[in-house]
Amino acid sequence: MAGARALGFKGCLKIGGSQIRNLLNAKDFFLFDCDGVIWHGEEAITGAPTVVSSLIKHGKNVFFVTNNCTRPRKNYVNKFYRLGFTDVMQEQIFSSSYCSALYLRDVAKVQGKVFVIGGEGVRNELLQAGISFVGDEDAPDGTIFNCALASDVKAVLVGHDDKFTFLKLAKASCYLRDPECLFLATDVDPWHPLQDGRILPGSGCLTAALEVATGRKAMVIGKPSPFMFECISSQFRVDPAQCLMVGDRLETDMLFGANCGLDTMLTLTGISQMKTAQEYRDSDHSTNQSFVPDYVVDTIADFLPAFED
Amino acid sequence: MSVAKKVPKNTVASIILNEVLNHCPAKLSNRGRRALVRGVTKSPMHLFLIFLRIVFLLGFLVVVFKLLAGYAMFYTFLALVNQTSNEWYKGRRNLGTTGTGSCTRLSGPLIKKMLDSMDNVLFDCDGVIWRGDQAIPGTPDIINLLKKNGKKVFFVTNNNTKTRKMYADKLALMGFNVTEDDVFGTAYCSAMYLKKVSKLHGKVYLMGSNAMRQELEKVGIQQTGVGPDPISGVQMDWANVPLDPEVKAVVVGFDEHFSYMKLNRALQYLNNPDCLLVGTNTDTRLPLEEGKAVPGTGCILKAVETAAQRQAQTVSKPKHIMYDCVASQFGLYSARCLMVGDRLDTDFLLGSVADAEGHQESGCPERLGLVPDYYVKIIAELLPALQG
Repeated sequence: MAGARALGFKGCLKIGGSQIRNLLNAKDFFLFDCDGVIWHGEEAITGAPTVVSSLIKHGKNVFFVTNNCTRPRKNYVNKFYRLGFTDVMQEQIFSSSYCSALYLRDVAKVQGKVFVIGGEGVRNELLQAGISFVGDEDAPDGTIFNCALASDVKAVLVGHDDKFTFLKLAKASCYLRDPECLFLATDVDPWHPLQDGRILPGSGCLTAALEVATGRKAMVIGKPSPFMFECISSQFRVDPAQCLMVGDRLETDMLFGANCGLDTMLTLTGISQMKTAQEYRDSDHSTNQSFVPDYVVDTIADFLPAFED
Repeated sequence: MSVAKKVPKNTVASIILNEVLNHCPAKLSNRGRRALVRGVTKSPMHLFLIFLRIVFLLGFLVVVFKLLAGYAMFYTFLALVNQTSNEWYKGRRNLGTTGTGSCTRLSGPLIKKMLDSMDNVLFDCDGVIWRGDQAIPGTPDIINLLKKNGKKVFFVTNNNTKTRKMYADKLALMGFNVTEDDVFGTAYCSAMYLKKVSKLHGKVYLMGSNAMRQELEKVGIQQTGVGPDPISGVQMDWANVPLDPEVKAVVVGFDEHFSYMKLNRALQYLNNPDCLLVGTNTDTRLPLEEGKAVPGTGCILKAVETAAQRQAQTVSKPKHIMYDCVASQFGLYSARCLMVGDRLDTDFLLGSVADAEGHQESGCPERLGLVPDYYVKIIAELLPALQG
């Protein structure tokens, strides 16, 4: 069932029962987004732990691909365990902070320091990767008019930072005046939802501010950029045709799947609704087609009947 | 020969027919003769019609060719003189008043002629009147002379970190003879916009400076949020931060206390689609004293727009709101207004939207659709015309 679109599907196909079983048989690699797909905040989605365990028991390769850069991978393992996903190992988790560190170490091979706008999640991954960084070690009376800049900063990495200040913005834009200084963003999500449906500003806002300040475009590590898939491919032998990307955000997860040549599935337990997916599908602009999922399910718990045999 | 009888004698057709028959080597069958007669009797009319067709066709081709050639030559000419057709037509429109096309270097008697046709002059400040806290040499004299010559002079700036009074004081220190009423900064224009255009009844969540707070209070609009405005607790607390129900708009200016928490609070207010989002300006840099610069209001505004997934209403140049603010208070007639600035993307859009002629310092710009009518290297070049 590789390339469902090639078979003439226009997308947004709601599937259940035996169709899911066929899909599960056809695919070997399952990439799951986390927030809104397998859990909401601190609560697992009903049936999700069983689905993940069953997939692993049936010999499928399961990976978790998340833009959330607020915690390091080892904390994610704890969260998975806490919420009932007991078979998940650290190697299966790919967060945008982890992949940013990989990019800086293995692709950019940065020699020098990284100016970090981000929290513990990002800093910890940089430490693990052996990358030296500077952040908000400001003198207490440092202001935008007289702050000191570190030397030897070769890259600026912007992630989710709830301690973001104008001073950090000013410093980052100073560092980025050097065209040799790399400009990376963990992700460009404009907001992200909490458990109760309320939203908070995302890294995308901070990245946008810095892009305007510098007149430069950030290199995006997280979805929908395909780099996270390249990270997975570099560590595991993955065939895109055997992959299924399961997510809840059309503009992030579905576009990521399209960019990597994967089949995509939207679950309706998160941000995007069926109506929006259908609007994209019926729109005249060809670029909107990349947002359209191949398949739709109400919840990934719909996979469960497929395992009962 | 019965065939030949059908052709009247002594006609061109009969002559041709006889000639053909005489010279025809083969014997023609009856059918052949009939075909020959048909051809010959039709021949003169047929030829004439063909001739007409050729004439019209050629004529048509000539006309089309001339149109295409004219079009191609006109656009080649425009390419050589580096203008768009719109600019050329605009230049032609001004021929009556200036005698030249657009982006003309102002010098000599042209300056006096141009100035005589203007009643009001609007000056951008940064880079035109002052740099940092130093006046550009010659400018105080020009302003004072313009006023002496009966022109109204206004100062228009995107900067929202000072009130009108602060700007007037700064200008007075530099030697300009101005009052508070002559200065229009975006802090003041935003307050006026909210009061007069949006007709705001309620409070404002302000991400901006004390100057903005003062201008808002002067027009009777209460604000909340100026300063650091932190939020404590965890993510759930931030998303559920208590909101002032009287806040009806979020106003974004230059805010050195900009932070994630203020951005969050703005987002929570903007979750209500009826809450307005107003920005003072979109400048990416804010110039400071001693030639330094920091990220400008545009960066903060972009962060808020990204979070709220909507566009702000901006008050600054190049939108017409600032010009309207000046014009409405002083009854200005735009055809007799001159805008003097140094930034194509802000000052001249103001000028062109208001249909005012603009003039620019330092060099003729490339095509941005924003070509000013005149340019000078430095506005002190206007001095001789004013003194003479």
